[in-house]
Amino acid sequence: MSINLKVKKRWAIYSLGLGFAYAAFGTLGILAGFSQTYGFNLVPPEVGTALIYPDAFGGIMLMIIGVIFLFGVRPQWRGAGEGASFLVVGAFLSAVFFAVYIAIMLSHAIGFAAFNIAPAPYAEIMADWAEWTWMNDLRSCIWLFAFATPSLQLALRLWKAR
Amino acid sequence: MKAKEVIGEDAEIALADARYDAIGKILETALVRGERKWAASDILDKVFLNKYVGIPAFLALLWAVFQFTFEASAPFMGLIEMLFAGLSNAAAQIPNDIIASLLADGIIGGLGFILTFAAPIFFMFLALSLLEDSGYLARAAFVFDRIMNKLGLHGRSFIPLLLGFGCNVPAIMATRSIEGTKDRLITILTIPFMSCAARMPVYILIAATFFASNAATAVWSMYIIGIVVAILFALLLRRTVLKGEPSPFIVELPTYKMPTLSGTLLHAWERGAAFVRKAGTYLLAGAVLLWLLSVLPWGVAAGSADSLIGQIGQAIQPVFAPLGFSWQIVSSLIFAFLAKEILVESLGVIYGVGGEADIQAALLASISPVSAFALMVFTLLYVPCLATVGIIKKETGSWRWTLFAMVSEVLVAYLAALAIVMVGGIFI
Repeated sequence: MSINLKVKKRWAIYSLGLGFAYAAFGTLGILAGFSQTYGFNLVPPEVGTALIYPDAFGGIMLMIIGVIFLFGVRPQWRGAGEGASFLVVGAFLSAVFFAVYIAIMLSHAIGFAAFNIAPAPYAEIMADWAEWTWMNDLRSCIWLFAFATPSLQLALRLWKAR
Repeated sequence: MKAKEVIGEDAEIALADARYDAIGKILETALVRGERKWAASDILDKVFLNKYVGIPAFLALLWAVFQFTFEASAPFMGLIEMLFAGLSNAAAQIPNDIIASLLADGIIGGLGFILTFAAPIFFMFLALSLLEDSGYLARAAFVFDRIMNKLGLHGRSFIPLLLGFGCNVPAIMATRSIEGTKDRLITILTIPFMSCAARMPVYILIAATFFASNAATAVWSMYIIGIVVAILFALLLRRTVLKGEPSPFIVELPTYKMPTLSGTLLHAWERGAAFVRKAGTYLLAGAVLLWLLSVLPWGVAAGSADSLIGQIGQAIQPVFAPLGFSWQIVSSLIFAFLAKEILVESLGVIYGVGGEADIQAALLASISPVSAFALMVFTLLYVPCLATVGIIKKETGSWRWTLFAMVSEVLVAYLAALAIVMVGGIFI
């Protein structure tokens, strides 16, 4: 498959944007996680966990995805084919994290349903999900994936051209 | 005379070179080259085998596996717990006190409690099967070979080490593919540091109790600590008792494949079902034995300090006092030598409480969060289960090495746990 340089440069700019977005929300997640651990909230509660989830390790994982996107920027800008690999794998990893958090959301929904269906003495076992709403499980890696989906188009084109 | 001395290089490398030379010559005559196309494997390997981002990508995927394992399985653990709570209530209605206690406190309290962990074990194997069936795990071995070789270790060791994530016994048997005696021995001695599925219930119980919002990360850290300790221990052996150069690692990477739903479910089922089978045999026998020790001599309160299990735990507890472990935990650690899951089972029997929430409350009252993390690390590193010790003896053919493995692992575990308590004490 041959992709002209202009298109590759567009992909490079796109990778740069995605890389910065993942790295930025990852960094904010790390800072929010640490600040919460040490008793002060760097991120105001009004911002909401859906935007910045206070989880240091989760933030590190978002940063890793961001760095992978950023690694592909220079080679794509120069027109080297290998640059697309970083975009494809970055998109793959973001899809994995999206799928994992959607699975977690669905499973917690089952917990919520079980709490509401089970008879009184046993429902207490499922009390952890008594006040569950889907917003509780909405993480930045879920909505960030929406921005990464166009890169799956490139992955598909490369896959078809094997 | 060794082949290396005759041909001037390692026989394995010479054979691989000759094989690829022959393949090259055949291709030159038979293949008409077209435009160079990138295969899907080339695209993915450019990143997954990259020297800078290959290992972070592996760590991120492994973290996703444990996030999925821990978070997604939790409601299913609750559903299984509800089932056993119903059975326990029914058993408590039996008029004969001894039979009612055996069923409610021993079998359901111990075995029923451990069976709730079937859910995360199935989820973990489901996720690991996806990675394995896609062809990715072989890449992980290749990426780590670079580090291992720099440390003077054998890259081929990484595949049995990865198998150790499932169960240490087949992982040790898989070392038969390693040719050098020293390389093989080093791998056998380091595999028990890899966190097998049997340790998962212990991690989940402790992590959920003490590290609620970071529980999945705490579980993930055990796997990372296991890999790091295994590499450092292998390095120590290589520099001391098993000196020598590692033989080279040659691996043909499989192409990536899209895992099939049926294949992945089948692999996860085969491995997860082994846990349920174990629960029906060893762990059932363990639950009955633990119950007996917790109610003997007759007349004492079940699981109390006056029971046999209490006396054993109290006799050894002073050794573990610097780690902050109570006698209940020490007793559980002793019996966990039979199988690591028994640690959780025995906590259920000793504390004599029903359900995860009650055991969590008892644990919170018993040890500090730092000691709890030290307990997770101790469980990860200390002497492997009876079956693993048996296979170490069989594969090394030596009681000396078997004893060395047991003693060194207890020492490493104790020192690592002590370091955590000392360093953690400064911050918390």
